[in-house]
Amino acid sequence: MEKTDVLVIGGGATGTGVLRDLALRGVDAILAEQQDLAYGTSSRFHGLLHSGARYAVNDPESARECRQENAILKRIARCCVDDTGGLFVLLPGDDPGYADDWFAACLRAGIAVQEIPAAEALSLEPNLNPALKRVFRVPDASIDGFALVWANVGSAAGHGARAYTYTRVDRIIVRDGTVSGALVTDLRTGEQRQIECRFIVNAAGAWAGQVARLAGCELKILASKGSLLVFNHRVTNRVVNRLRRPGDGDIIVPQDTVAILGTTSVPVDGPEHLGSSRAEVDQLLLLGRDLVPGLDERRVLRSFAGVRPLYQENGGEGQRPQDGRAVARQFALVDHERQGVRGLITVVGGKLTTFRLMAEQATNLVCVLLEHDAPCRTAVEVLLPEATAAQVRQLQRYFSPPVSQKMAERLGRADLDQLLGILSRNGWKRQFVCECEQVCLAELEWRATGSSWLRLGDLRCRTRLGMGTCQGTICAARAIGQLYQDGMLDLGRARRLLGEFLDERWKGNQEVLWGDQLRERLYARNVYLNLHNFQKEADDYGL
Amino acid sequence: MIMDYDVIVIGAGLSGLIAAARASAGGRSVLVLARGQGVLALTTGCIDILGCLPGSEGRCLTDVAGGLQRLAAIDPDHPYAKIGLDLVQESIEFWQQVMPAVGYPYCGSGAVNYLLPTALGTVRPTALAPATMAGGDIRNEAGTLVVGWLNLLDWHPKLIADGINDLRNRRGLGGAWSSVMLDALPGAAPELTPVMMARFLENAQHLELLIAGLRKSLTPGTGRLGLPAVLGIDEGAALFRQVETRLGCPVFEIPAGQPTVTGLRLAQLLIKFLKQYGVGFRFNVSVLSAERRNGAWQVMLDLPGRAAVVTGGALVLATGGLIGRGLEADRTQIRECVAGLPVAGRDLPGQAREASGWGRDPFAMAGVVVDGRMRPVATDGDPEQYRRLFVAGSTLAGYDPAVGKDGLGVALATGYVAGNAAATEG
Amino acid sequence: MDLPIRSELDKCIKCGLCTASCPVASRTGGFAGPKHMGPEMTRFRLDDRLGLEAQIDYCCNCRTCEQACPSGVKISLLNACYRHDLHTRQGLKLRDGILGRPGMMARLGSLNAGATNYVLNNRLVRAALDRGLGIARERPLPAYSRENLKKWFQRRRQPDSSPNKVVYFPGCTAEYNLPEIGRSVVNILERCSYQVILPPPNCCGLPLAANGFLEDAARMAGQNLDNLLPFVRQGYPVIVSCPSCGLALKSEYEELHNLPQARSLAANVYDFSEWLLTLQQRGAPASGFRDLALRVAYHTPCHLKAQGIGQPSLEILKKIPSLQVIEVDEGCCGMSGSFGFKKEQYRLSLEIGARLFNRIREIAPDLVASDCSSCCMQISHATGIGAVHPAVLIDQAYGRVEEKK
Repeated sequence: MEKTDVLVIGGGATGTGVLRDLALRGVDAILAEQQDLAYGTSSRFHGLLHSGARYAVNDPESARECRQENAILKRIARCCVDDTGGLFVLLPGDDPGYADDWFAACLRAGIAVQEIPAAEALSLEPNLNPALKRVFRVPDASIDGFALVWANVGSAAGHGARAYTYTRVDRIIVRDGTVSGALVTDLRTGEQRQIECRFIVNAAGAWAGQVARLAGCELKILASKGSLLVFNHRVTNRVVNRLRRPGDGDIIVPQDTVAILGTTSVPVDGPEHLGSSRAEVDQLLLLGRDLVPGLDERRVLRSFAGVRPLYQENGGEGQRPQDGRAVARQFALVDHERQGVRGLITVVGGKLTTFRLMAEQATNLVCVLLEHDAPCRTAVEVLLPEATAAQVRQLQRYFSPPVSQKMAERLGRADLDQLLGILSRNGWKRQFVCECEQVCLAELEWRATGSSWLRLGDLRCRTRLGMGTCQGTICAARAIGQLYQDGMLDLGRARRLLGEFLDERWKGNQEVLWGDQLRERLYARNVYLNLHNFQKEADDYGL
Repeated sequence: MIMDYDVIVIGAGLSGLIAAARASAGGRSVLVLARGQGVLALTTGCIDILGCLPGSEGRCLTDVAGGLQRLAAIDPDHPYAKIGLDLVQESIEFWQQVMPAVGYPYCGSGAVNYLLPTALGTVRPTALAPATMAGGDIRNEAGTLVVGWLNLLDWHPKLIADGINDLRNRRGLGGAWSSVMLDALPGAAPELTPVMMARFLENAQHLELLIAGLRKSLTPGTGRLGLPAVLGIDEGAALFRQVETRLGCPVFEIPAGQPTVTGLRLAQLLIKFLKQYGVGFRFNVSVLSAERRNGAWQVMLDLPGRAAVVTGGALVLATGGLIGRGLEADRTQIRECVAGLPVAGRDLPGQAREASGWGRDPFAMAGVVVDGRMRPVATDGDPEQYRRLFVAGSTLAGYDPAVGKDGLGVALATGYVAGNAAATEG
Repeated sequence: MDLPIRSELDKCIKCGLCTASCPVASRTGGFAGPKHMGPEMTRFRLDDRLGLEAQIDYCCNCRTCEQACPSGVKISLLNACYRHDLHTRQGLKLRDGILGRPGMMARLGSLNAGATNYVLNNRLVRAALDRGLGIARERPLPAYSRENLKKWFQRRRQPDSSPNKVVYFPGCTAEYNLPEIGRSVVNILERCSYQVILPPPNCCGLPLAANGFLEDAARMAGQNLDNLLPFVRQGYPVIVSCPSCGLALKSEYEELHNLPQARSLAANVYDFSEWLLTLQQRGAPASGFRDLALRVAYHTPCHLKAQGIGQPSLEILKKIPSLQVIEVDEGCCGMSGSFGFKKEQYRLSLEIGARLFNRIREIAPDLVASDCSSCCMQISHATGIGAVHPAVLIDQAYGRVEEKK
């Protein structure tokens, strides 16, 4: 039986943040995640690292927290942050009075906001609506949720923590009113085992209510779905916010080679229904083109949705908010002792930008209960050491400067060493498996051998494979073929993974099938169904 | 009115080229207008007559003749059902006459399917295969060695050999396939696509290197060699024959990567042949519109710099489907781009619809509805407006080649019928 | 420029037909091809923090990719912008500046053509140009003519004024290097009862754009618009004998430089053979052809293909009695204007054209005909067989004997 001090449930930003914090403070900890890391909301959002400006008017406390955490993450998590800066844009027809209130509120929250002339804004971002009235610069940035979560776990593992993915918690064992462990199932093998622990931190996000119930505790989580669109290219180089009371379709975030437009806010029953409807897609496009004229003509690669888990202290008694945005985005820390279970705390709500702070406060509480006296170091220790200049130079022996730069940023120092090792042994592995995002075979190999994964989609999240223009058309077969050739898959799994991967990619563009993305889909079908006669179900071909 | 050409064909995919060949064989002056080389090179280059019946859940059809009968009975909207099976057969015969003249013969009678291996280690039914591919049928008992090179992209010989063995085992045939991975050919680029390798091998010295390497990997048990389709493009099947003769061992090609060498080869050879045969070609022209005026078709071209007009007595629209952009979809509608023909499935983009990608796809099925002579069925307006207009290939409604494995077969048959009608109908 | 780039790259479905058709990418590992350099890297380039790839110098601007693309992506537009960005950020090469300005170099070189040609053929000079500038020493440099087209035009007796007027834009080669092309064009047009107007000699700007000098190219384009538009407004067509000039005037001025009024010029620009064929189809004197007992191999230049006008020269040559014309149809010759002059590209340039040269050797013609003098130069260099502009042959078929100077 495995033993630890603290079991963290949930492999999103908060859970992995708690794991790292505990590890850095010398507390032995294990994390269990039912899917892959960042399966939930941590990867299903627009990727905005808030400056706090968006909350300045409605929720000044959140705004201040964001401001602080924004600065901390830019310092410690440079590997995951693209410090693009952000703009708030006042459009004709929007309330000019709100802009003044907002500006004042930003100043009160200590946010470095600065008005710039319209002409300057248009020269920075030529695609913005030329009729814009006022523009303000803020320290918004773009953050990669996948990379952040992986970096947290990497850092925690460096300090002795363990993280188990595809490990579902079936039951929380409570003895005499005190948590003593959990029964978990490894979904890959079906084996159930017990993990003994003194504390459990429930950081399961949208699933937190379900986890609390495993210990017999009631926890009201309201789910609000937000839909987003992924565009084929960086529509803007900075985060662009519409300067008005926060609403739908008013944020554009550049993310690597793409741009994300969000969001909508629709109350839903639970975290499991994550599709976005065609109506939401149309609505987003309609709103987005106010910010960037012609945005509705740009190619949309896919739509996706995430669930905001919103904690309601007094149970919510059957109420559902009309707009998830009306509920404060601040987070909650719940000690379930008052419900009769000692050793279980839930940390929920908040937003990705403030994950570290949430983790710090949750860990503080755990440490008090554990009577473990150690300061939090997550705000000062760098999350993942960056690639060195010498490494980048070495990469440039194989790749062009822009591609090397992207790769170095994506991988960080330690993983880059592994990549360079593979390349020096097998130079031909410089070949690109994913051309759209320039992911080479060596990177695929390292991610496939150096981390635990179940689906091809897991490797996608670690590499960006299949996230670009072709959405898997070229790279899926290449990746599967190479993994098979390298002996990492058996035949049945190879076929299953390929089918699953295409399914997942295709579901994501189900609601954006027009124009060139429709052509792409039909082309992908031509490649897989026609040229390769790949059958997802009937793989005996009637022979 | 003086017409520039008897027949104008828009589109240089297989259906357009066949229509041009047929009309030209019928003694007409023919001009082919094309934006580019078309998406023919994105196919396997095999003439798939019919590989899967609708609703058969991926079962490979071997009896094509019987399958066609069944298809005509259960799927009256399929282009084959409209043409009639006699004409489908006639088009196959036409093909088998043309291709030897092109110098790139195809094997098969059209009545039964080959079961050929794919680059993903699956099997694919096809009726007419180029001589370079036809030797790869997976039912063949010969010990088969699939060869790869480390630097070649989109080619995984172990996956192919194991995949085919798996299928053979299910059929009780026993595994007879194995694979070998060779080092990169000296002088070849470190990242080699199949097309690049084909260009590389068009150099005689490089081909020698290839043959030498292959010879070394032959073992006494090797009954045939499976290679990626890389044996040259412009030379047709010449390099293939050379390799086979020099090795003294049967060889077959498997199309790999995108575009495929077998597709490119077919497209280029056919176009070159038709040019010599007297068919006029104009590439790099976009067609803005086509209109019937004063008893002739006026085709408006969008050339760099200006618009121009060519006139023809008959018009064959072989402009492609949504991939080839003969049809275009915006957020609400699909339209036919040249003559503004009515499109079945017009409103699909804006509608709620099931398009998982795997089954028969509503978007792939969308297109122009025609009668048995490839004449658009006018749903409104004056039927005269479509006189001597014929539609062929992926522009047509009613079939989904990704599922039916009937893409180039429909292109051949409908191109043949359209070309025939354009040449003969008054 | 920003928006067109974005809508172009959005069209790509990554099918790879462009790269498969690219004469450079299919023959070298050094160039990942038009798909990579065009739509793929443009997505990266939009992130302004990232550096740029120098591979773009392998693009020879032949536009074969655009003809192959089933998605209608204007890859050359993406590449021209990319090249411009690269050169703006990394500085421009002196060599590319020289190769991009054939007109200016020609004006200098023609001051004393004999001396210039002598110097440029000197082995020591070539070695210095090779090492110092990166101009391949093996590559013959075009000679400058002692009498350029303009001087000849002014010197000779002017034919009677005609109500039918055309403007002839000879471009740099027919002006300075091979004025016999220009003379033939003028003769033929006059024979068809047109009065020919020569605008002031000027480069079309395409070599500048192809070498990354977008602003200079746009300036050149502006000058040409100023020179030519007054004639266009009077309804005179503009005839070009160089396919690259034709492409610049017909499409680049609008698409690449986005110049107002470029469209009204473009609508009146005709390739020489395109124009002559139209005249012949309208009944102009095709009948006047004399026998020309020659065996000629015809090669279609890439930039003529890009104009979408078919093969008018081939059609005209086929009408000349006793002239046996064989179309070569083996794709790009590899020269691509300034591309083949570059030291690092010289060998590749010949490899690209290898099939074409082999086929021509097989045909063993008396002469090769091609509308592009850069193709002619490459073909002659590689095969040792003389290559001429079709206008020269047509002129001969019309019975003209080159006058004695």
